[in-house]
Parts: sequence; C-alpha cells; structure tokens
Amino acid sequence: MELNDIHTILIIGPTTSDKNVDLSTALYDTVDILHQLGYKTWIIVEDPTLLLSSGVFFDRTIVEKVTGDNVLKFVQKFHPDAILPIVGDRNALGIISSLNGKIGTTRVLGATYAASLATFKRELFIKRLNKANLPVINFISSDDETEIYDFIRSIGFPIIARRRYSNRHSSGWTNINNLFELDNFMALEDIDDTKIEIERSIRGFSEYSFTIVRDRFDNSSLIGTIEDIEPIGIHHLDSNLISPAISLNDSKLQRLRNYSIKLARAFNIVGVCTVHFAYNHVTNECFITEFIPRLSEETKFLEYATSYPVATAVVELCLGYHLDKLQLDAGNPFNGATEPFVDHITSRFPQWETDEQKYLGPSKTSNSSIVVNGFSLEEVLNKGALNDKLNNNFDRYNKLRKLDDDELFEKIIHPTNWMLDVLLEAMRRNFEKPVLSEITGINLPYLATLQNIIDNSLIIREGEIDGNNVERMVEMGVKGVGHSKLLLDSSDIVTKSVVKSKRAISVANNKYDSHNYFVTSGITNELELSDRKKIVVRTPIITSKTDIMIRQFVLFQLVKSIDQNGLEPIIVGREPWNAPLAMRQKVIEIDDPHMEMKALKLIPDDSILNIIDLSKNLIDSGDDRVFQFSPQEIKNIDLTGDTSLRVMVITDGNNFLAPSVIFRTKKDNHLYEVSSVNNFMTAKDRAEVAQLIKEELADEKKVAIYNFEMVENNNHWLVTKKYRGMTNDIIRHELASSVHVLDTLVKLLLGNKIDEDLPLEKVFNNFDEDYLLTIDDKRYKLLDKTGIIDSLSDLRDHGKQKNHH
Amino acid sequence: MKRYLILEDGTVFPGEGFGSSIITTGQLVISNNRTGIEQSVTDPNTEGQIIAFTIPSVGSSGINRDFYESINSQCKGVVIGSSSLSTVDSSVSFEDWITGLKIPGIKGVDVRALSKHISEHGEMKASIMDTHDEHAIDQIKALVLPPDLVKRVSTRQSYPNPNMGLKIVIVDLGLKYSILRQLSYRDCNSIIVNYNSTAEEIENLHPDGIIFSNGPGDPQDIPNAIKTIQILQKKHPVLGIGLGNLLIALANDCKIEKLKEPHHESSLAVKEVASGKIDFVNHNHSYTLDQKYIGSSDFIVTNICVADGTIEGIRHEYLPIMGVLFEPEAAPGPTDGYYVFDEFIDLIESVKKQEGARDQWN
Amino acid sequence: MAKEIIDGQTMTRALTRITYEIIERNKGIDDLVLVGIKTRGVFVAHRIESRLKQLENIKIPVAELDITPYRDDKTHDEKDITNIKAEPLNIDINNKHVILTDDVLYTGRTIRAAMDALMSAGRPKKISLAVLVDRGHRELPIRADFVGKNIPTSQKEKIKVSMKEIDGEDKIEIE
Repeated sequence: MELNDIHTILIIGPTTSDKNVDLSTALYDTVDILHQLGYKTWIIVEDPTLLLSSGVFFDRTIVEKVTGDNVLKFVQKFHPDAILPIVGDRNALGIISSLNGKIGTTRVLGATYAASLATFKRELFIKRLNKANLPVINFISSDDETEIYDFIRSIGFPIIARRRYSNRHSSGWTNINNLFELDNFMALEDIDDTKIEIERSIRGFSEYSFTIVRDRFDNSSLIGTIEDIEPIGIHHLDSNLISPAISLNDSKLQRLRNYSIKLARAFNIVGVCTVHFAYNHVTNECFITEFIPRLSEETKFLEYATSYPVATAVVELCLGYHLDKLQLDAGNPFNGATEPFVDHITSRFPQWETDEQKYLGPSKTSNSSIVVNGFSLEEVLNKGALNDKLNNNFDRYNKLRKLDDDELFEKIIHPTNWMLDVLLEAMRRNFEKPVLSEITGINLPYLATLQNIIDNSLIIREGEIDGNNVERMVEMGVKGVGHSKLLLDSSDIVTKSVVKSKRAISVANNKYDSHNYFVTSGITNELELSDRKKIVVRTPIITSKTDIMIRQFVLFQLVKSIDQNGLEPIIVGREPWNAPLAMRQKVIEIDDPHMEMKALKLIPDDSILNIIDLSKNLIDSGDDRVFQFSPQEIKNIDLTGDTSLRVMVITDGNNFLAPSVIFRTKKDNHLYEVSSVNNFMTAKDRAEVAQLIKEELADEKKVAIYNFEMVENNNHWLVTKKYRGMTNDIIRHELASSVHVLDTLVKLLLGNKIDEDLPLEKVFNNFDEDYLLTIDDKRYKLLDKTGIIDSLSDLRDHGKQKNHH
Repeated sequence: MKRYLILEDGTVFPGEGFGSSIITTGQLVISNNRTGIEQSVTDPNTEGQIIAFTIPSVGSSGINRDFYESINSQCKGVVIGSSSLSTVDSSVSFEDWITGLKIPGIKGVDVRALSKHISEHGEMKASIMDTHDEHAIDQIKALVLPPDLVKRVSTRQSYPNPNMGLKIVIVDLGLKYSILRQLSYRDCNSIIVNYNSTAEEIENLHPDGIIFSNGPGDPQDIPNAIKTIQILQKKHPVLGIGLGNLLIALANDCKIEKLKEPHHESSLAVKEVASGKIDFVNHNHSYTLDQKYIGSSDFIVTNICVADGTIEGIRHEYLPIMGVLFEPEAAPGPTDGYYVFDEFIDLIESVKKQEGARDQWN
Repeated sequence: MAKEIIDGQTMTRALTRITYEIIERNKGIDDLVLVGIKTRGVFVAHRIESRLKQLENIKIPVAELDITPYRDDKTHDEKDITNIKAEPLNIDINNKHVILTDDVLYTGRTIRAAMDALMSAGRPKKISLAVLVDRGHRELPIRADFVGKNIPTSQKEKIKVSMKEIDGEDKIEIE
C-alpha cells in the first residue's frame, strides 16, 4: 500500500562540495527504482555531470545552486507532490529544515522537519530525546552560577566545559575531572555576556553506529552495526571501522537496537536512520550522540558489507511500501524484513593523501577510504590498515623504532593516523596492554589482535616458515610472499587462499542474489562462473572523490556493454566495487586486496577474452589481452590559446571515431565550455581535425582510446596534448558520447571493426540532444539544440572578431 | 593441536583444538546467532549438540555469566572460525571459558564451507576427533544418538519460583531460565515440574495457566507429554514454546515435519498474521508444523516466518491454547517477542473473567 | 497536560486480542456484522475486520453508524443523547450477530442510542459490544463483551483516543 497521492518527486541532488561523500550509486539506485515504479522524477543539481549514468532517468533536471531558496522557488513553480532529501547529503536536510510551513501540500519523504532540524539544533535534539526517554548527553549553557553548579552536581565528573562569547565564538573545550580543575576553570574571569557551556564528558567511550530502516506501519529492521576501533573524540570517518560491531554482547546489542528503533519512532522517520552511540564498557553508560535520517557514507558501507539493497529499499519505504513487500525492480518482489546476517567482517580504513603523521580529533581529516573483507580481525587489519602496499607500514615501523620510550609514549597520548603502528611498536617493547587500552580508548580485543600479528610476524622474520605457519599466515591475511602457492590441495590443509561469497548462508538471505566475492582463506572455493567468455576488468585503489565517481561510471558502462555483448563481466578490484543494484545480478565482483587472483588461477585462462586494466601502472604488459584504460601522456606542448578543442577518439588500429568534441573559449574574461560541438563544426574544421587525428594515430595498430587537446593558432588547430587512454574528461564529455565510446571499446576488443571510408559526419556522429554549457568551470547550463547553436555562434563570432584585431 | 570435525557423511573439516581434548560426538547444528554464545552453550535445547557458530571473532564481547540459561553447560562441543583472544570487558576469554566448562572445541574451521554443506545436505551427526581415518568415520556412522534428550535436561524434582501473581505450572522439557525471568517480571507464581508429570499431578497444583517449555530433540520421543496436554488443554489455558508448541500440535492430531533449512538464528523476522506487524525474534528449531494439518484443524495461524513462510505461532479457535515455535524470551536476540507472555497472561485473565461471569449466574 | 497511557504497539496488540476473543467466542463467524460508531469506532471496526480477514480469510461486512450527525463539535465524552437521530444503515442486519464497536465506553448512553438505531434498522440475532477502552462511570446497565483495556479514571479526567487513520498516530492519552 504505497502513498497514492504521489506521482512527481523532486530529488534534492548533490552539491559540488568536496566535503560531501560520493552517493552516486545510491542516487542511481534511487532514481532507477522510482523510474521503474512509474514515478516522475525531477532533480535539482549544481553540476549535471555529477548525475552520470543516473542522468538518463530524470524527467526534468534543474541546474541551480542546491539551496533552500532555489528548492522553494521550484516547488512554488511546479508543485511536485513530494521532495526526497535522502540522497542529498547533509545539505538536503538543512534545506528541508528551512522549508517548514512554506511548501503547502508538497510532502517531505524520508526525514521529517523535526528530524532534519534536530540534526542541526542541539537543543531540539536533546529536548526530543529526553522526552522520548532516550539517553542523551545533557548540556547546559548559562551565565547563572547556581544553575551551572546545580547541573554539575546532577551529572558528576568528568565534564567538559567552554565559554561562549557574545560574538558567538567560543573557547575550546576543557576537560574537567575534579573539583580542583573546576575551580580553576570557574576562576577565569568572564567578559560580559559570556555563557558557560558544560556537558558530561564521554571522552574515551567506545563509538558504535546502528542503522535501521522503518516503514510507515512502524516495522523496523536493524540493517547493520558498525564499531570504531578508535574511541569517541576521533571523527567517525577518520576511525578504522568494523562491521558488524563485534564487541557488543547480547544485552548491549539489544539495548542499542531498541534505542535506535525508539528514536526513529520518536521522530517518525520513515526510511532510514543511522544512530550513533557512545558506550562505556566499564560503567555501562550509554548516550546517543547523533542521528542521520538519510543515506550516507555509512549506509553505503553497510550496503557493501551486507548486500542488503539499502538505497532501493529506503526509497520504497519512503513511498509507503510495507517492509516485507518491497520490489528489487518492477515485478521482482523482495522481502526487506530481514536483519542481514553476515559471517565475515567488513572493515573501512581511512586514507590520507600524505605519508606524514596526522593528528586526529573531532574534525575529519582523511581524504578517502578503503574497504576490505575477512573472517577475522587479523585478516582485515593485515589487508587494510596494516597493508604495507597501501600505507607504507614498514616505513612507519622503521621510523617508530628509532623513537625512545618517552617519545613513543607521547605518540600514544596524542592520537595520529599512525596509531595502530604506534601500538604495534609499543607492544613490541612490552608496554602493558591494559594501560595502552586505557590511554588510547582502544579496546582490548584489538590490542590482542595486534599482539597476535606481532607474534606471528616474528616467525616470518626469524625465517621459521613451515607448513603450519604458512597456514596461519594465510588465515591472518598476510600475503605477498607467495605463501598461498606453498599450500597443496590436501585434506590436511586448514586454510589456503580461496574466494568466498559475501552473502552469508541464512534462511533470511536466500532471496537476494549477488555475485560479490572476496579473496580470503578457507578450504573450499565458492566462485561460480558461467560458460560465457569473460572480460576481466581490473581496478586499482583510488582515493579522490572525483576518481571514485568516474570509476563508478566507467565500470557500470563497461559491465553493461560486456554483458549486452554476450560476455561475462568480472571485476577484480583491490577494493570492493558495489555495482548499482540493477547490475549486481550480472557482474561477478571479486575483492582482491593482495592481487592474488591471477596466481590462484580460478578463472580458466582460456575463457578470458580480454583484460581491461584501470590501474596507472600495468603488472603484466606482456599479455596481449590487456588493455590499459588509464591515460598515458604522449604529447604535451606548452602552448595555450584562448580557444581550444578537446576530442575523444576511439580507434580499431585502422579507422577511428570521434563522437565527442568540447569547445572552449574565453570571452569577456570568462571561460566558456560547450559540449558536443561535433554536429555544429564547420566542414573545414571537421576535415582539419580529422586530418590531425589521422596523423597522430599513424603508428597506432591496436584498439585504443585517445584524448586530444587542440589549440587554435592562426586560424588553424594545433595538437598540444595527446593521451593514450581515457582521461577524467570522460565525465566532461556528453554522457551519450561517453557511453558510446565505452560500448564501442568493448565491441572493438571483441574483434569488430569500424567501417572503412565513413563520411566525416558519421565519424563525428553524436547522439546527443541536450548540451552542457559550462562557465568558468563552475556554473552550468543545460541547453537544447537551438540554444547551443545560438551560444556557439555567439562565442565563435566573438573569437573571430578578436582574431581580426 | 590439529583436530578434525568429521561429519556423518565422511566430510572432514580440519582445525585447531581448544578446550577439552576428549573425543565428542553429537548432532551438528549451525548457529547464525549474532551474540549470546553464553546463552547458546548453556541452553538445555542444545543438549547433545555440537554447535558451529558462524560469526567471526567469537568472544570479543566478553563472557557474561549472568546470561546463563541453565546452571551447567549443555552442548557437546563448539566449532568456530576465528576467536578473539581478549574481551572488551576484561572478562575471561572465550577459549579459556570453554576450557573451564570442559567442552571440546575446534577453531580455524572454514565454518562457511561447513554451513554451506549442511544447508545442502541437511543436519547430521558429527564428531570432533584427533584423526580422520576411515575407522573414525565408521565410528560416527555406527553411532546412534540417544533419544532421551528431554529426560536428561528436565528437572527431576518440582521446584517453585514464587511470586505474588498468577500461578503458572511449567512443564520442563528443557526450560531456559529466561522464560522464568519473563514470568518473574510479570509477577507470576511459577512451579516447574518434570516432563513426565501426569495431568492429575499438574492439576493438583491448581494452575491458572500451564506452559510447555522449549526443549531438545523430537517431540515424538515423549508421548506421555502429548497425553497430558490432551487432558489439560480442555480445562486450562496452555502456552507451548518451541518443543511445547510441537507437542500441542501432535496432541490435536496435527503433524510436524523437519525443516529443510533449520532455523538457528537469533534474529529472524516473524509476522503477526492479524495485524501485519513484523517482529524480529530468536529462532532455534529444526521442526515445524505441517501446514496441511493446521489448515484443517481448529487452530488458526497467528505468526509466520517472513523469509520462508514457516508457521511460527498458532492459537486454538475456541480453547485457550496458544503456541509459538520461536523463542519469545529472546536470550539471545531482539526483545520484540516478549509480548507473547503478555498475551498468555491476557488469555488467562480473559478465561478467568468468563468463568467469573459464569459463576455469578450459576 | 496530556499523558500517554497507551502507545501504538499496545493498542495494536489490544485490537489483535479482541479479534482472537471474537473468534474464540463465535464458533463460525459467518453471520458476523461489524458496526462502528462514528468516528473512531468505525476505525476500530475496520481494524478488527482486517484482522479477521488475515486470520480466517473471511470478509465481514462493516457498517458505519452516525448517531451524532449534528453534534460533531462535541468531544466524545460529552455526547448528549437527547438530540440523537441515527442515519439508516447500508447493510442488512436481520438475523445477524452484530458487533458494535466504539473507542471509549463511558456512561453507556451512546451505546444505548446506537442499539436503538440498530433495532430500528432491523432485527439482529444478537448484539455484542467491543470497545478499545472501558473507563467506568456507567449510567446505564451496559457491559462490553470485548474490552481492549480497562482504564480507571475520575470523572474530571478526559480520555483522548488518537488513531492513525485520522490523527496520524495511535495512542491513548489522559488529561
């Protein structure tokens, strides 16, 4: 029983801010299912290229700054039946809280006004939680001494306190653990109008997060739990995360589960809600620190970890579906009433761009993350945070070894992103584990895990490797020295390297199929392949948000066209790739952090037609089947001009296609960029550009993608940049062209050829119907055909005039 | 020390032994419980079983002795993948705890492969041994597991769990303490009796309601209990939990069957048929009620498992009898099912009220 | 200040229990008819009807009975029966077992008026009464056959029943 009065939905889209996380897969899944269920979807977005593949679904795309004012303007003009803020990150909730009472009958799906507002307004959050009898850290802001002391008496030590000045600035938080420290703090002189803010200190508490989904009929299910290895005080996304939360016993788990459901009920959140907890395992005190009523980095992570289709389920719940009667796609029912069971650990390790140590605190400093899977803590740590290939841990070890005990102790007190390495060094020096745990707030099971890793790596270093040790190494995820090859296929073997499915074996999981695997240890291998020939796509670790979005797009299109061309797509990545739901049935995805798949020989070599490699550096350039996708710079002439072209070319080694050309020019001190000008180029330009490409491709005998930059110089085009492979421009080019190029690539790799003697109109053919105008690389406009012709002639005339001067 | 988990069908799973080093044999059960190792190991329902826990990093959350479901451990062995060497609350580590309980354990086992094998071939006997030669496999095949599981776990003597509320007699077929905890919370004045108590013995205790508890094994092994139910159900409100529910079905000419995919998971969704309300509850049963028989009986289906449609709760149309196959007392698992005890108390009170009304007229 | 005494879940459970009791005390529910007293009594009737349908796969007719067509401004507790005039029922109740449903049972005067209306519409075989809350203070010899919850109240207190269909959420408050 869905909500019958909703037909058109306005989605609050992503902003261009780098601070926001990449939710492109969630957005794709969301609009895909809305589209299939027959809803009209509109979106407001700052940069339409952020929509990538999901762009095709929208009935209307509004390119504007994603602000409350613009959303309001749009709602008043077009009257959508509902607004969906759940894929718009934090910004969307801010917008919702500003729309209260202004949007008439338009409904807000997912997060209510009160819920949105309470994620920003601390006082409201505390008030609501207190009313619902949920544990929250009480807080006082007052200039009245009696009130302050009353409050301190009621909560006891330790507390944190700060002064808030009338100019809204504040002093930093001070830790106060006893009367003496309190006296010192209170004795400081107050300026007029200064308020003192005090709350219970939860420093050193363990941090957990619970994500539930809830339907309109008050049915809730716990989708997943996450625990931070680092304590409260270090930003959640700078912490090493473990899912499921393994350190909660039954009563603690149920207590937090019940709180989470109660909170969603208190705010009447229909959809998804992630609740953060601070838990003290000594006193069993527990507080709710925040909640997130939308899709987020965490729901994305849990979708990786559990295979539960969170984004799709949540949008259907928002629309009023019953939790147990959801649709995977139109006509394919799905029971969302499960609390997914996982038999392995999934872990998210933050990544920093620099090799240097970074001090960690309440603000996020990491740039990206890596996700790994394993069956033990040792395994996920060795694959992730302690994986030398990713973090240069051996280098860290050498540096830390040189510190004296006092210097090392200083590092233990002030947490950095090297903390696990620091702890390893401290334990090598026999620092006491309970003391380390108390100071760092890192729980004992993790320290015991590190100890286990130290003990076993000693075996390697001392060279006492035998069959038994090797098994243990493999089990603990230590790889890269050919250990797995030493293990023979005998029944005596406890563990060897195998590939296991991520879907746990449970009555509840039977209905949703996915082909997600990871390389781990065990006795049996679970990889199931079809008879079809295969194209393997290998992906490296990537760290920037833009690159992650590009990977999502490229992999999605490649997989789609590999499948459509009758082949089996296999993605082998150093970290998991979560395909959009629509693709999950079709693609085989294998997480392989140590790049072992090749050595394991689980994919019959003769079934592999091609290997498309997305890494910067190839490991097996000798193999003829390997196609390097990432760009190699071949030419770079330092010549700039006001007017330039960027051309995307694909060749079969003989003929080529150039389906996308971007025109860029300067006018009145502004930079204008127009996509897909292929169709509007003059015959002269076209012939000249084609001739240049032909010359540049003279030596190319294989299937290849090229990207060129050509600068206008004395009324002629000059090739200034040449890349073999695909540059980041793939998202600047028009979507249809990019899709076309990727699809052509697959076809050419299969041995198809580009027709000989194509007329130039065909070579430059382009299927686009709307066009993107970019101003100064940050403002965007979508134009139709007449619009683009007008602005193009406008820009060109301008260029011509200038040339005449 | 290297040890082996050997299945009845000859499949061998190698691993490393811990805990007691004795050779053990039992019914192998795959448990997908998220938490509550303490409860599972001490649950009388696991009598005679070797439990394989499929969660990773077993024991990180510590061992809480307040969670015990009986005084002693019950299971015959534990199988795990990875364990944690230390605990978050500085309590005893999992392996030391198992050693203290003198239970044999085996770790480093590919529990995922094991779980897959069982889901494809059904539940079977297994043994933890030091060797895996043919002789060992023959031994397991030849072994017959004793059918007197309930007898071994049921209390020999009746004992009270006094309080001021309703008088509940609990027929102990393998009672979990958490059922008593729930009744105590509702002020029930309970008396726990042996599984073989006669209807007359139970009636002499003047119960307001009678609970047939959960327990291990096949209900057809305890025919006396079926007869007792047939007599008592006409006069008293009856609640059956797990094995107790199966007995109620058998007492009313319904049949039971073995589940193709047994339910051993601490959080599986159950739907209340009447309202559509979904609750997550602990399941620990290998049998279910035969739909055909329930359909043509005087029972209505009150709860079903959302994932596979298995009947999880029934209620008699006009007699005050109700039963659930899942474990409403949780322990471990979500607490959504506690309401079953409230419903039973409502049922008792409604019967009392009607009797009261009748008495006034008579 | 209003104090919530029954939450949504408890209300759901109470309605389910009433349904079980209706089944239990009516061997064969074929001749049942549910008649809800407007406004919230109708929702009570529909909820029982949907439960019966889920459990027994039998569709029971539901009728609405409006006994205060001119007095919508008054709260339920204050209903005065002097002006009551019932609208005709749209189903046949002759020889049926009618279960009358309402949210709160208080003085009993509403129920009496409802029974009058029923009798004028036909000749039911039997009339039973199901209410969500019985708050006492009867002024007539009327007793409910099925009660969700007995709530002792003083006459000064007000009972406020909220139901999802009209109030957005399920709860019972006392003020």
